[in-house]
Amino acid sequence: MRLPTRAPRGVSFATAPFADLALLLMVVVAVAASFSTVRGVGLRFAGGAGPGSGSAGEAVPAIVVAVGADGLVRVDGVAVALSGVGGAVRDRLERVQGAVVMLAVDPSAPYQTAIDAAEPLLAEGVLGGRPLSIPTRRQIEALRAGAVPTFAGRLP
Amino acid sequence: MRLPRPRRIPLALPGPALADIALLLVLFFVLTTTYDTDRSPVVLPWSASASAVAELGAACVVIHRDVDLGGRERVRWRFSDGLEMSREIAPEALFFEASRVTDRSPEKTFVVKAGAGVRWAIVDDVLDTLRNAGARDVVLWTRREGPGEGTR
Repeated sequence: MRLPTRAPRGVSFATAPFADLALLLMVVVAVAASFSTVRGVGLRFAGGAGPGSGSAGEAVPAIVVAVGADGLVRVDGVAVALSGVGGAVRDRLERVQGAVVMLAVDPSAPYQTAIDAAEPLLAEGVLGGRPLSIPTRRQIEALRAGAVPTFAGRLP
Repeated sequence: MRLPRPRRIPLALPGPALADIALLLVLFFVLTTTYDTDRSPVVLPWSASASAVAELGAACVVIHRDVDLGGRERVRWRFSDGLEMSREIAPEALFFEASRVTDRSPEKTFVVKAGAGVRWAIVDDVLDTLRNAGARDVVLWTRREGPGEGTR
Protein backbone atom coordinates (compact mmCIF):
# COMPACT_ATOMS: atom_id res chain seq x y z
CA MET A 1 0.00 0.00 0.00
CA ARG A 2 1.31 3.37 -0.83
CA LEU A 3 0.37 6.22 1.46
CA PRO A 4 -0.23 9.62 -0.09
CA THR A 5 2.69 11.95 0.32
CA ARG A 6 2.00 14.74 2.72
CA ALA A 7 1.95 18.15 1.15
CA PRO A 8 4.76 20.29 2.59
CA ARG A 9 3.50 22.87 5.06
CA GLY A 10 4.20 26.44 4.02
CA VAL A 11 5.65 28.94 6.39
CA SER A 12 2.64 30.80 7.76
CA PHE A 13 2.67 33.92 9.83
CA ALA A 14 -0.50 34.56 11.79
CA THR A 15 -1.20 38.28 11.72
CA ALA A 16 -4.49 38.34 13.65
CA PRO A 17 -2.89 37.89 17.10
CA PHE A 18 -0.49 40.70 16.33
CA ALA A 19 -3.38 43.02 15.59
CA ASP A 20 -4.89 42.15 18.96
CA LEU A 21 -1.53 42.70 20.52
CA ALA A 22 -1.14 46.12 18.95
CA LEU A 23 -4.52 47.14 20.32
CA LEU A 24 -3.62 45.90 23.79
CA LEU A 25 -0.30 47.70 23.59
CA MET A 26 -2.00 50.95 22.70
CA VAL A 27 -4.46 50.65 25.58
CA VAL A 28 -1.73 49.81 28.09
CA VAL A 29 0.56 52.63 26.96
CA ALA A 30 -2.32 55.12 26.94
CA VAL A 31 -3.31 54.18 30.49
CA ALA A 32 0.32 54.25 31.68
CA ALA A 33 0.88 57.66 30.05
CA SER A 34 -2.17 59.18 31.74
CA PHE A 35 -0.84 58.03 35.13
CA SER A 36 2.60 59.48 34.52
CA THR A 37 1.41 62.95 33.47
CA VAL A 38 2.66 65.74 35.68
CA ARG A 39 -0.16 68.10 36.59
CA GLY A 40 -0.13 71.08 38.86
CA VAL A 41 -0.18 74.84 39.20
CA GLY A 42 1.52 76.52 36.26
CA LEU A 43 3.64 79.66 36.57
CA ARG A 44 5.24 81.68 33.81
CA PHE A 45 8.05 84.02 34.73
CA ALA A 46 7.73 87.38 33.08
CA GLY A 47 10.72 88.62 31.15
CA GLY A 48 10.19 92.19 32.31
CA ALA A 49 11.27 94.09 35.39
CA GLY A 50 9.12 92.05 37.73
CA PRO A 51 5.61 91.69 39.03
CA GLY A 52 3.36 94.69 38.94
CA SER A 53 5.57 96.58 36.57
CA GLY A 54 4.49 98.01 33.27
CA SER A 55 6.27 99.88 30.54
CA ALA A 56 8.46 102.82 31.49
CA GLY A 57 6.67 105.29 33.72
CA GLU A 58 3.34 103.54 33.52
CA ALA A 59 1.76 102.69 36.87
CA VAL A 60 0.20 99.26 36.98
CA PRO A 61 -2.45 98.70 39.63
CA ALA A 62 -2.14 95.44 41.49
CA ILE A 63 -4.52 93.36 43.54
CA VAL A 64 -2.53 91.70 46.29
CA VAL A 65 -3.68 88.40 47.71
CA ALA A 66 -1.60 87.91 50.84
CA VAL A 67 -1.40 84.52 52.53
CA GLY A 68 -0.34 84.44 56.16
CA ALA A 69 1.56 81.70 57.95
CA ASP A 70 -1.70 80.68 59.62
CA GLY A 71 -3.44 80.31 56.26
CA LEU A 72 -5.39 83.53 56.62
CA VAL A 73 -5.95 85.16 53.23
CA ARG A 74 -6.29 88.90 52.74
CA VAL A 75 -7.30 90.48 49.46
CA ASP A 76 -5.92 94.03 49.42
CA GLY A 77 -5.75 93.95 53.22
CA VAL A 78 -9.26 92.61 53.77
CA ALA A 79 -9.52 89.15 55.36
CA VAL A 80 -11.40 86.77 53.11
CA ALA A 81 -12.34 83.11 53.56
CA LEU A 82 -10.56 80.77 51.16
CA SER A 83 -13.83 79.95 49.42
CA GLY A 84 -14.47 83.65 48.81
CA VAL A 85 -11.06 84.59 47.38
CA GLY A 86 -12.04 83.99 43.75
CA GLY A 87 -15.18 86.12 44.05
CA ALA A 88 -13.38 88.93 45.89
CA VAL A 89 -10.64 89.11 43.26
CA ARG A 90 -13.15 88.96 40.41
CA ASP A 91 -15.09 91.87 41.93
CA ARG A 92 -11.94 93.97 42.28
CA LEU A 93 -10.80 93.17 38.76
CA GLU A 94 -14.11 94.48 37.45
CA ARG A 95 -13.54 97.75 39.30
CA VAL A 96 -9.81 98.15 38.62
CA GLN A 97 -9.17 97.93 34.91
CA GLY A 98 -5.85 96.41 33.79
CA ALA A 99 -4.83 95.30 37.28
CA VAL A 100 -2.42 92.44 37.85
CA VAL A 101 -3.09 89.87 40.56
CA MET A 102 -0.21 89.09 42.90
CA LEU A 103 -0.11 86.22 45.34
CA ALA A 104 2.25 87.07 48.20
CA VAL A 105 2.81 84.12 50.51
CA ASP A 106 4.34 84.35 53.97
CA PRO A 107 7.72 82.55 53.91
CA SER A 108 6.84 80.46 56.95
CA ALA A 109 3.53 79.28 55.49
CA PRO A 110 3.38 75.64 54.41
CA TYR A 111 3.53 74.94 50.69
CA GLN A 112 0.03 73.44 50.81
CA THR A 113 -1.35 76.77 52.05
CA ALA A 114 0.13 78.56 49.03
CA ILE A 115 -1.40 76.02 46.66
CA ASP A 116 -4.77 76.32 48.45
CA ALA A 117 -4.70 80.09 47.93
CA ALA A 118 -3.54 79.90 44.31
CA GLU A 119 -6.20 77.43 43.29
CA PRO A 120 -9.31 79.66 43.49
CA LEU A 121 -7.40 82.34 41.57
CA LEU A 122 -6.55 79.94 38.78
CA ALA A 123 -10.14 78.72 38.50
CA GLU A 124 -11.77 79.48 35.19
CA GLY A 125 -13.20 82.96 34.83
CA VAL A 126 -11.48 84.56 37.85
CA LEU A 127 -8.45 86.20 36.27
CA GLY A 128 -10.04 86.51 32.83
CA GLY A 129 -6.90 85.42 31.00
CA ARG A 130 -4.53 87.56 33.07
CA PRO A 131 -1.47 85.78 34.45
CA LEU A 132 -1.17 85.19 38.19
CA SER A 133 1.98 86.76 39.56
CA ILE A 134 3.66 85.01 42.49
CA PRO A 135 6.51 87.33 43.45
CA THR A 136 9.43 85.83 45.31
CA ARG A 137 10.74 87.38 48.53
CA ARG A 138 13.48 89.21 46.64
CA GLN A 139 10.95 90.69 44.26
CA ILE A 140 8.75 91.77 47.17
CA GLU A 141 11.76 93.40 48.83
CA ALA A 142 12.55 95.18 45.56
CA LEU A 143 8.98 96.41 45.36
CA ARG A 144 9.12 97.65 48.95
CA ALA A 145 12.44 99.37 48.31
CA GLY A 146 10.99 101.11 45.30
CA ALA A 147 13.26 99.35 42.81
CA VAL A 148 10.12 98.71 40.78
CA PRO A 149 8.50 102.13 41.06
CA THR A 150 5.53 101.38 38.84
CA PHE A 151 3.90 99.08 41.37
CA ALA A 152 0.70 100.49 42.81
CA GLY A 153 -0.53 97.79 45.13
CA ARG A 154 -0.40 97.19 48.87
CA LEU A 155 1.99 94.56 50.11
CA PRO A 156 1.45 92.68 53.37
CA MET B 1 19.81 -3.07 13.54
CA ARG B 2 18.77 -0.29 11.34
CA LEU B 3 17.16 2.66 13.00
CA PRO B 4 14.39 4.49 11.18
CA ARG B 5 15.46 7.73 9.57
CA PRO B 6 14.10 10.68 11.52
CA ARG B 7 11.32 12.57 9.81
CA ARG B 8 12.13 16.08 8.70
CA ILE B 9 10.18 18.63 10.60
CA PRO B 10 8.82 21.28 8.27
CA LEU B 11 9.98 24.81 8.86
CA ALA B 12 7.12 26.88 10.39
CA LEU B 13 6.91 30.01 12.45
CA PRO B 14 4.51 29.51 15.39
CA GLY B 15 2.50 32.73 15.21
CA PRO B 16 0.27 32.37 18.29
CA ALA B 17 3.22 31.44 20.48
CA LEU B 18 5.12 34.50 19.29
CA ALA B 19 2.10 36.67 20.02
CA ASP B 20 1.96 35.28 23.55
CA ILE B 21 5.65 35.96 24.09
CA ALA B 22 5.28 39.47 22.71
CA LEU B 23 2.36 40.13 25.05
CA LEU B 24 4.41 38.95 28.01
CA LEU B 25 7.27 41.20 26.91
CA VAL B 26 4.91 44.17 26.59
CA LEU B 27 3.56 43.58 30.08
CA PHE B 28 7.09 43.24 31.43
CA PHE B 29 8.26 46.50 29.87
CA VAL B 30 5.13 48.37 30.89
CA LEU B 31 5.66 47.29 34.48
CA THR B 32 9.37 48.01 34.56
CA THR B 33 9.63 51.15 32.44
CA THR B 34 9.21 54.46 34.19
CA TYR B 35 8.52 57.81 32.62
CA ASP B 36 9.47 59.64 35.80
CA THR B 37 13.02 60.77 36.16
CA ASP B 38 12.57 60.91 39.90
CA ARG B 39 11.04 58.23 42.05
CA SER B 40 11.65 59.64 45.50
CA PRO B 41 8.48 59.47 47.59
CA VAL B 42 7.11 62.95 48.24
CA VAL B 43 3.67 63.75 49.64
CA LEU B 44 2.67 66.39 47.11
CA PRO B 45 0.27 69.20 47.96
CA TRP B 46 -3.31 68.55 47.08
CA SER B 47 -5.06 70.50 44.36
CA ALA B 48 -8.51 69.92 42.87
CA SER B 49 -7.95 71.55 39.49
CA ALA B 50 -4.23 71.01 38.67
CA SER B 51 -4.79 72.76 35.37
CA ALA B 52 -1.20 72.97 34.13
CA VAL B 53 0.40 69.96 32.47
CA ALA B 54 4.17 69.59 32.10
CA GLU B 55 5.37 67.90 28.95
CA LEU B 56 7.28 64.66 29.06
CA GLY B 57 10.96 65.26 29.71
CA ALA B 58 10.56 68.39 31.83
CA ALA B 59 13.40 69.17 34.22
CA CYS B 60 12.53 68.41 37.81
CA VAL B 61 13.54 69.94 41.14
CA VAL B 62 12.67 67.76 44.10
CA ILE B 63 12.47 69.19 47.60
CA HIS B 64 12.22 66.52 50.23
CA ARG B 65 11.62 67.37 53.87
CA ASP B 66 12.28 65.07 56.82
CA VAL B 67 11.73 65.78 60.46
CA ASP B 68 13.76 63.68 62.88
CA LEU B 69 12.63 62.55 66.32
CA GLY B 70 14.11 65.67 67.86
CA GLY B 71 11.88 67.82 65.65
CA ARG B 72 14.78 69.04 63.55
CA GLU B 73 13.94 69.69 59.93
CA ARG B 74 16.19 68.32 57.19
CA VAL B 75 15.61 69.38 53.61
CA ARG B 76 17.18 67.55 50.68
CA TRP B 77 17.32 68.70 47.06
CA ARG B 78 17.38 66.52 43.99
CA PHE B 79 17.58 67.58 40.37
CA SER B 80 16.92 65.97 37.02
CA ASP B 81 17.42 67.63 33.65
CA GLY B 82 14.54 65.57 32.27
CA LEU B 83 16.83 63.15 30.47
CA GLU B 84 18.66 61.45 33.28
CA MET B 85 17.43 60.17 36.61
CA SER B 86 17.45 62.67 39.44
CA ARG B 87 20.42 62.97 41.76
CA GLU B 88 20.96 64.69 45.07
CA ILE B 89 22.44 68.16 44.82
CA ALA B 90 23.41 70.93 47.21
CA PRO B 91 20.99 73.90 47.22
CA GLU B 92 23.76 76.14 45.86
CA ALA B 93 24.16 73.84 42.85
CA LEU B 94 20.61 74.38 41.65
CA PHE B 95 21.41 77.59 39.79
CA PHE B 96 24.24 75.93 37.87
CA GLU B 97 22.18 72.86 37.00
CA ALA B 98 19.13 74.90 35.94
CA SER B 99 21.33 77.25 33.89
CA ARG B 100 22.77 74.32 31.99
CA VAL B 101 19.26 73.19 31.12
CA THR B 102 18.01 76.63 30.05
CA ASP B 103 21.18 77.18 28.04
CA ARG B 104 20.52 73.98 26.11
CA SER B 105 16.76 74.42 25.74
CA PRO B 106 15.42 77.81 26.85
CA GLU B 107 11.77 76.73 26.60
CA LYS B 108 12.20 73.74 28.88
CA THR B 109 9.56 73.46 31.59
CA PHE B 110 10.70 72.95 35.18
CA VAL B 111 8.63 70.88 37.55
CA VAL B 112 8.88 71.59 41.27
CA LYS B 113 8.16 68.42 43.22
CA ALA B 114 7.97 69.52 46.82
CA GLY B 115 6.30 68.02 49.85
CA ALA B 116 3.10 69.65 51.09
CA GLY B 117 4.71 70.40 54.46
CA VAL B 118 7.74 72.23 53.06
CA ARG B 119 7.88 75.88 54.11
CA TRP B 120 7.04 78.34 51.32
CA ALA B 121 10.39 80.08 51.90
CA ILE B 122 12.18 77.01 50.50
CA VAL B 123 9.92 76.82 47.43
CA ASP B 124 10.30 80.57 47.06
CA ASP B 125 14.10 80.24 46.98
CA VAL B 126 13.82 77.54 44.33
CA LEU B 127 11.50 79.70 42.20
CA ASP B 128 13.86 82.65 42.56
CA THR B 129 16.85 80.52 41.54
CA LEU B 130 14.99 79.08 38.54
CA ARG B 131 13.93 82.56 37.43
CA ASN B 132 17.51 83.82 37.72
CA ALA B 133 18.72 80.78 35.78
CA GLY B 134 16.47 81.77 32.89
CA ALA B 135 13.56 79.38 33.39
CA ARG B 136 10.26 80.57 31.94
CA ASP B 137 7.68 77.93 32.67
CA VAL B 138 7.36 76.24 36.02
CA VAL B 139 4.76 73.72 37.14
CA LEU B 140 4.25 73.22 40.85
CA TRP B 141 3.44 69.53 40.88
CA THR B 142 0.30 68.68 42.83
CA ARG B 143 -1.82 65.60 43.26
CA ARG B 144 -5.51 65.32 42.59
CA GLU B 145 -6.40 62.75 45.22
CA GLY B 146 -7.97 63.91 48.44
CA PRO B 147 -5.86 65.20 51.33
CA GLY B 148 -4.02 62.40 53.09
CA GLU B 149 -3.89 60.14 50.03
CA GLY B 150 -1.28 59.51 47.39
CA THR B 151 2.48 59.78 47.40
CA ARG B 152 4.58 60.33 44.28
